[in-house]
Amino acid sequence: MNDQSVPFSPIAVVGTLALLAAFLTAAWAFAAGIAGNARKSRRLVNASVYGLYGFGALIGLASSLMIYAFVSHDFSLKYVAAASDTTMPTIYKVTAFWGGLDGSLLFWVLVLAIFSTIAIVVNAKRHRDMIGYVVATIMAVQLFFLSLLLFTKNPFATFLTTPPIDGQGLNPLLQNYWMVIHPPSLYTGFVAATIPFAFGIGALASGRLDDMWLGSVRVWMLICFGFLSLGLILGGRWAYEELGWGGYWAWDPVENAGLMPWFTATAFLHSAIIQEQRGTMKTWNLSLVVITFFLTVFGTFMTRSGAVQSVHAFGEDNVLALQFIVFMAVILIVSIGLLVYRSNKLTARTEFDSFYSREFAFLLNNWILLACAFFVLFATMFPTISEALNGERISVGPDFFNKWMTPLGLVLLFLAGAAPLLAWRKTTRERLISQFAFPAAAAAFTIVVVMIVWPQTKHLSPMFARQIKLPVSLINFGLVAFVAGSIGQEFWRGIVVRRRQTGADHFSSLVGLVLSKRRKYGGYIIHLGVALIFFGFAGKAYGTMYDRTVEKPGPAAANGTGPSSFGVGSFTGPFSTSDYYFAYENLFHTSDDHKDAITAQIGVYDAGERIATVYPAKWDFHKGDGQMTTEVAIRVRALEDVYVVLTGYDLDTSLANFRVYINPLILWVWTGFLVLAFGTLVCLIPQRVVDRMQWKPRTRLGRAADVGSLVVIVFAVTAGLASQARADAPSNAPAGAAAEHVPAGMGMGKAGGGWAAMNRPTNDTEARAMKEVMCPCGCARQSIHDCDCATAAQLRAKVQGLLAGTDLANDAARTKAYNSVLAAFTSEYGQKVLLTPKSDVSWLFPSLAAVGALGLLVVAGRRWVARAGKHPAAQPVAMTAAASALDDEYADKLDDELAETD
Amino acid sequence: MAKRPAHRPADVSPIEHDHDDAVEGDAPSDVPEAKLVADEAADPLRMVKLGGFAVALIAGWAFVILANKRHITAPVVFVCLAYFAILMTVVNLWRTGAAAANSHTVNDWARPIGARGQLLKEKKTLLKAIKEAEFDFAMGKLSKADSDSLIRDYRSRAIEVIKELDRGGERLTAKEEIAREVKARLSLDAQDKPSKRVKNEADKQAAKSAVKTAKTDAADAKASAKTDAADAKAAQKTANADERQDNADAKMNAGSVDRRAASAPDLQTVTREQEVKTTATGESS
Repeated sequence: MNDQSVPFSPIAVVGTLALLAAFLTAAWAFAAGIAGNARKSRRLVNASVYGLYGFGALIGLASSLMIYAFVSHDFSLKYVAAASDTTMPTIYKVTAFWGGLDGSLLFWVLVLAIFSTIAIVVNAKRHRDMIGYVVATIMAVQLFFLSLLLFTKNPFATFLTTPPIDGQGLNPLLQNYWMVIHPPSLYTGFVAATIPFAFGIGALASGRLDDMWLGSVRVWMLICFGFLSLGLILGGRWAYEELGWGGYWAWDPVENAGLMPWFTATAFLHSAIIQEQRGTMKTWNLSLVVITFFLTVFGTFMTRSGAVQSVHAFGEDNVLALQFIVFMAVILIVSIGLLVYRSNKLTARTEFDSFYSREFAFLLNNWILLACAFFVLFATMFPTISEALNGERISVGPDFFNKWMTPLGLVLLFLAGAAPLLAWRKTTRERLISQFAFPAAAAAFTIVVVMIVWPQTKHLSPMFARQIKLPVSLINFGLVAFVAGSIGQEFWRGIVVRRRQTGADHFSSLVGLVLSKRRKYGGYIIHLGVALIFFGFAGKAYGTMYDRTVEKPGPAAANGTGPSSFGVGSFTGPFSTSDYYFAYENLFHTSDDHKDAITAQIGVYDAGERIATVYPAKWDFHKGDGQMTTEVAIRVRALEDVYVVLTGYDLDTSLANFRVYINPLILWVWTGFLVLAFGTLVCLIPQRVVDRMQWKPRTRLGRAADVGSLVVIVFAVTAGLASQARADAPSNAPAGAAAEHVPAGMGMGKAGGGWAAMNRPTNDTEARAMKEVMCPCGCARQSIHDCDCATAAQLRAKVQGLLAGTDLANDAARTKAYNSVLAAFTSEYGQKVLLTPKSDVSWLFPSLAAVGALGLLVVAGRRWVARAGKHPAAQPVAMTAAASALDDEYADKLDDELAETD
Repeated sequence: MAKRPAHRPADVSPIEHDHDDAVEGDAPSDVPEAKLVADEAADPLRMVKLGGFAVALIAGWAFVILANKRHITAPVVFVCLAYFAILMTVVNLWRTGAAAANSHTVNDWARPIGARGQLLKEKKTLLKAIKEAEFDFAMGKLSKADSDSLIRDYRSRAIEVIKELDRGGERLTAKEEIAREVKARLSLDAQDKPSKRVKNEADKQAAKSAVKTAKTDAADAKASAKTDAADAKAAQKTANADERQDNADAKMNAGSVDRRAASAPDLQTVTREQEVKTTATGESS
């Protein structure tokens, strides 16, 4: 019988016991797997496999109990009390499971347990001579995370004294649908990278280094790629809707943590094809598998240890950081040790027949993707590195990332269009011209048209350093057209050939083409999605921001003008000539069980015509920490988004401050992702599904039904994703209002102040200086130009004070004034106040790395091509005497098999 | 018949129900190994066990739902899931223990598993590569010469792979490959010099007894019949090759790439060899 003052929770007891039992089971499966494989004992390997299944069941039990504790309000558990309360909707109580650090670790273990169970069930027979090592590797990873759960972050820990009657509630920023999907999709992507790693280690440990493991690994890497893509794009969408700063990507360390393994996973998906086709690059592929897994763990370390500062990272935890560092060291030591140990089996002569071959394009793509991953890693960790080296934390803002990543991204975009046009081994000059003619013409035509119609796109942007300037947008549009032309040509020519072979109509040929070569054409669809995403990126460069203060709401005049209205300067962006006016019509205060809401009603007019009513708002959650959340209102249009934020208000006088962003082409970022997701799903269609479609139905109607079913399934999944990219209109919105009012949660804005509209820059030099100085308020590394807090307003005033009376007559004077402002801020706050690092190391290291990597690629490429020249492709072995006697018979057999191959 | 103790769990192996694999290793010598594996897969109590599991699961869930007065709320759902997890835990922990304690598990490590699978995969890759090269040529990415060269290489390797598969999926070592080649060449040399061999045999036969002479006559008659059959077969093959060559030419004329056309040098060589063989066997007869 427990004392009334001492909390007792059977859930906590059973849950902790389940975790302990899982720990022991994992240790047993790990030991049995290694011993079984090493001693070639089948019974031990069998025992390890069943141990893995049992482990999964135990983690399932612990997770069920955890969620049960949430939905049954068991506040004797510290984690439940910290992350939920009785008034939360059930769905948020369930998602609170992964809302905090402790629960997210348990969620990680659960997802890995599910994935590993599926992977082992599917592959146990196929890879039975390495499956013991595979199980052991997975269990080693699970042991690490379980040790964190049991000894550092036990979600079943209870209060030592009387538990609270109600919980603190989930962080308001997590109480929205994006947080239901975004974190689990990223976790899932991270976890999926463990399976390829386990098979890679299994192959290395067992010495089975043929191509067999590659097929199993490729599917899991594709799943990893798909979920990471989903997680990243949802993260971007979350930032766009939640943070209220009008953008979707700011190179936040937490987002970068997901981006780095995405780069290496993408590189692997390409280089695996080279191994399959040419039998080379085994070491490279194994290294990519290891690096991808390592980066997922590193990303988890970054977000959970406090090693980097981020808008949505977990807090600093030195103990956790140390545990992660030890684990990462073990991963590297074991992986590199095994690679060295098996280096004799991995040696394969890499030979390329020509630079103009698909494999060389893939190789180039791999190098650039790897360069992207390491640059992002370097830049993300640079503040921490600089702090460790000289004690001063140097900030790295989005501008620094963009200067390097934009040109690298453009080269990747070019390769996305060029690689499909190249043949394996070599492409002759004539074929090269024939293949590239149409896409190149499309690119040239687009560039000319864009230059004529939207001359703003000729603007030169500094790349790498300020000395190198390129018309980035123009190049971007040209390359998007190039990729679209290339992929379109591939599809068209493929359909023509398919029609010639089968005699089917165009649509049937298209479906047959895609289904028979799913990886190839699914990959092309992904490339097209990437091109659309870049199309959206190009538009973002022309986004504009306006801050306005309106003293009183009131009815709008017939033409959208009047005292309560404000325009945004007859906006004539590069892609539209809209003329927006905003009528501030009402400000009202509402309240419910969870929050107080202050909502503004805005009528949006384009060229005098009312196109929408939007409701930007501020929410104050009762259980929050007093920080209000920003609820942006977005009017989505094909060519641009109209994005309205309520940045301040005064309920007594109804004064309100608004910030309006016009974001061109942003819709295409989300659309591009949907296309990418569709392509990924096409790549993942199992062969048996295609076989069933090909053979089972005997009638055209049956086949049509199968094709229809597949199309419906794929589109349903894609549409499901699409539906998540749209928000519901508020219940109180007038009928016909097409605006998007999205719940948000970050609370970047501060109520009542209207700081965002204060001390706005009056000239370009002020604006430039304000954009370079980082706001120290703790926001997402925003500049004082963009941040809407009181500190930013005061610092803007300081900039204006420093520049007051300064000569700004010519470029030299303006540059001098700009530098003097930065010098004043640096002397007061240190280097960390600047968004672009001035340290030579920050520029020198990536520059040297880029030049070195390029040089190495050229040298290695020339060597490999020269080697192929010295050793021409293997001559037909069929000419040997023994073979020739039977060749004819086997040629018949081969022809028969070819006839059945699609 | 497999000797399996009565207490031994029949479904103890998650791996060994691989019917198409031969089993080697430390299995009891008097047990037909393939049979042993088959027995493990065909557990007569499998359905009983599955039924028992289902009954336990449904009974538990029914109890939980009835205890909550048939109100299926979120907590009830997660309690049901927890119960399912408990059952799965019990089953799998039992099986892991049973598997570890099972001393009769067939050990199949000695067999080079994966060799056949690897060959099948390689064959599949090569078949797709040939198709891909044809497709690339048809789409205009590859020139005729490049396409032919690629297809020829892929076909040669594919034929080798199919041969290896027919041999049971065992790859030959370099030494074995050389021995096989030497043997094959000797065999061909022997066929190239049949008249000399026949003459020697005739000399030997002349020195033997009349009974043996009669036997030699009988043997000659048999050899003659065999040679006639070989002639007919060789002629048929030559005709087939010609026909295929014609077909290849026709396809080439039609503008489509043809696999046979791609490996035309091989075909011609083979055809020439067959002609030589035909001539040689003709001489011998």
